[in-house]
Amino acid sequence: MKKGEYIKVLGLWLLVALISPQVKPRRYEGGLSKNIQAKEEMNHSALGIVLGEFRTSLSDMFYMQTENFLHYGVAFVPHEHEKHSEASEMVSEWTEVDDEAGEDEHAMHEGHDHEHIVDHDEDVHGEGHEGHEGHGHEHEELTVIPSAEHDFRAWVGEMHRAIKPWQAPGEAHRVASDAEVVPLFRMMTLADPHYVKGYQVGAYWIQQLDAEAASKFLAEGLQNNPDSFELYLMRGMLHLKQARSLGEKGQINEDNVEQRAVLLKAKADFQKSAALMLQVRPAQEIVDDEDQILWSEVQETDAMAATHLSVLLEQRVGDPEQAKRLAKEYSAAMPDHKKLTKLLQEGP
Amino acid sequence: MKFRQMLLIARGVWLEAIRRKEIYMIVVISCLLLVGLGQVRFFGLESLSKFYRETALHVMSLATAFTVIVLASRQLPREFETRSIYPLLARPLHRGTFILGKLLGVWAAAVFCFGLFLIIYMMGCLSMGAPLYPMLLLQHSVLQVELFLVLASFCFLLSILVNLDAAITLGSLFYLLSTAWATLSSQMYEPAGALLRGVILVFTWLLPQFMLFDLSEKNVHGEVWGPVSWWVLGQLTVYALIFSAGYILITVALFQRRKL
Repeated sequence: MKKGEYIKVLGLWLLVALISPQVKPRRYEGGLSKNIQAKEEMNHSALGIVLGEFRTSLSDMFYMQTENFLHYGVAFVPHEHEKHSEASEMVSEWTEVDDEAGEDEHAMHEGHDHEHIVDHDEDVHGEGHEGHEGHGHEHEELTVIPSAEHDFRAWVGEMHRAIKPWQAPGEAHRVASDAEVVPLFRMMTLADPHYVKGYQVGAYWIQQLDAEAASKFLAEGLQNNPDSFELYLMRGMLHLKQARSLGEKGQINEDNVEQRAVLLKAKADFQKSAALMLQVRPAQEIVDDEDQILWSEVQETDAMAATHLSVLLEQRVGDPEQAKRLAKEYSAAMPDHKKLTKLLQEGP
Repeated sequence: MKFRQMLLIARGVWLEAIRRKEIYMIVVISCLLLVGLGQVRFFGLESLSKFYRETALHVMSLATAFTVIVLASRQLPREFETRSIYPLLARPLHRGTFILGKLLGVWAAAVFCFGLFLIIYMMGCLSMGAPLYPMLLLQHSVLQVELFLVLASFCFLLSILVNLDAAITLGSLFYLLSTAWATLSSQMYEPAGALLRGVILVFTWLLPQFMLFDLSEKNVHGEVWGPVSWWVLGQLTVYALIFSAGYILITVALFQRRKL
């Protein structure tokens, strides 16, 4: 090797040594996965920001790609309905089931499951659910490739619509029922281990194929994000589903020893989730402010689910008095939480 | 006679491509990437293939496009640099034949690369038990091959207008930004003023729209999308030929006016 090449190798080695500390996964947080306050606290190096921003942007791109996958390649302009693919929506629906439990004392034994929930009249999207295709939309959605009436490109536009996956406005909305999105969640969390949403939604898809793999994925997420209340909530949800799977026809019976053991794990996760949530949730008046950026609607939905399920499971498989205390504690922080208020009124 | 001359020049392009190592590197790295991708089992799950198909189809297009850009951009500058063009043109050889021969050589190299990637891709799909959607794959391949013809012609034009490095850079940018342009222009046209609208229209019609030659998304989601009509494919073939012919004609015209 020539002298010049030695110098190049040495230069590269030094460059790697300089860059390596900046690309440590825990050193940078950005993209869609964290709020502005958290980013400010974490980011203190210009190089770290550049390298980290690349990584988190990559995660965001993978996340957006899941939308395309779920629509069979049809690219839609980002819209409100996107949140239906997020775990919080799924969680809120699962919570609805348990809310029915509050109304019907036998509901915990009725074995509601996710498939049952998606038949709910309000659900017209079918996203994030199994086996729902051809759902109509309540509103017209815009595709990235415009329709002929709105396309200035004439023949080029016509060819574009013929070559790319595209559907006319108002056409029945097709949503994929497969779990082919799973690799995208693996990639986005590898690119950014702080992408909590990636772990949360990814775990939902993975558990459809392999519950154990989903559990391991969540464990990895919790290792990288030990303070994430969303991931504890998700793990609790998986335990809840596991408990159902242990019962006959998906029914839950808290007297069943096996089911009870799993329900206790779920309860612990929900309570951990609620405790972590209370540490980071801003005051109610801030949450109520429509212009605030500290706490998203999705986080609030998850927070409500965590507290509700925490109290509900404490009532069913724990101590009813403790459930009442928890309900009071959570209600003090979240006075608008109607489900909690209802549980408090009903009492143990 | 002229066709034989073209073939001889095309053969020269192939021999040079074989001698130069960077093309090998692009092909070998892409092949390894495709084989490696086919081996990845996310969470140990066997049934997932869309990620592989999507990534592999993009890698195939990208690697072949870069091969085309590098090969096409350097043909003319290298001939001038090594002065090998002088004995060539001293023979009874029309400059148009010379350019067409070079184009044929580059295009054939692109078809060879893409064919090689296609074989690896199909083997990967079969090993995963993933569907191939043969008709869509065939149509995608036809369109890609047409795209490489347009891209090669464009790079020949660039190489006569600017130096080698600039030609490679501009060719790569043009290829990479073409898809973004389609989306951007659609979003920008509505709020744009009259002048900007004019610019967008000119760009849309005077530059080839490469996204029209990419059926990869339909191939990935082939369970719901059928093959494209042959009428559409025919129109796109004519579209590609018009652009390719246009670029080559300008290249030949500029090449003929160039003092050797």
